[in-house]
Amino acid sequence: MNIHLYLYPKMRIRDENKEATIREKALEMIVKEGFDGLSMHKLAKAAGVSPATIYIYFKNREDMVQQLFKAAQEAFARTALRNFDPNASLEDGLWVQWKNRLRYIEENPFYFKFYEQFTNSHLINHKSVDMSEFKENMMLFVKNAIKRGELTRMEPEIFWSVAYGSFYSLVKFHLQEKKMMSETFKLTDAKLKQTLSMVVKALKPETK
Amino acid sequence: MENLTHILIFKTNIKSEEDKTHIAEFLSNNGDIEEWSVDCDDIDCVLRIVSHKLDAEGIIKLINQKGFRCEELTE
Repeated sequence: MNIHLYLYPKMRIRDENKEATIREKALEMIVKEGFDGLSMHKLAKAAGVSPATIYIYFKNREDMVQQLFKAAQEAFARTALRNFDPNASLEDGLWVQWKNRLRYIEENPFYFKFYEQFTNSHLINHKSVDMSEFKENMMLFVKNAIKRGELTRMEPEIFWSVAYGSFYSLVKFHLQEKKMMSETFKLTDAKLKQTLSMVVKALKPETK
Repeated sequence: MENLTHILIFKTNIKSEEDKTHIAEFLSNNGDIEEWSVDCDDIDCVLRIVSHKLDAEGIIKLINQKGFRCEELTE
């Protein structure tokens, strides 16, 4: 029992556990049933709280989606920058990025699906999320690789497609969201390394 | 420890965007109300008020004056 509640029976303190439970259940509900499947009452039941509690933390469904997106982005940026050195070689730096991003997806499967669902949604105000530290690190990493002659100068979209497109495709096979020949493709470090060495070769400037 | 006692939650019959416009100006011009929103998607048409000065009774009076029902939603 909180001492404050004795003194001020009407006092309400932020309950981080409740908040976390609401967020988790909301993510699950949105990923499984879509935005239209989300209702505050259904969510209250699933999270074992009253609708009033949900409204203390979120104004409405749009506000909830926006806050969840922000949390997903912040968690992504935090995980992606773990042990990442923008001065590392292209191969070493991409390896850390791939491993970090795979960890993020495995630790937060709902966040990853949610991000895919909402990244192009009109409900999301991308300006409300501060990704500057992450972006600065990525830009510095690319600049360094160009300077060292490991990377051809190219448009960011082309770089991303080559450097990360193959990685995210493999992740989708790994999560069984895509099927090819094998029914049970598992992503291992050896398979990631094999792919990375091809990617690094493809990004290297041609020697004249 | 963050105190959230200044957030007040009510069940109302402010059902539509049109209903919302009837109270919008009046709530926005009230200096004691820092933030307000109505969730018209929800069955309870929940009104959420952030105010360090007004209590639930004060808000209910204001909303009733505008001809809408309003009762506090308890946790």
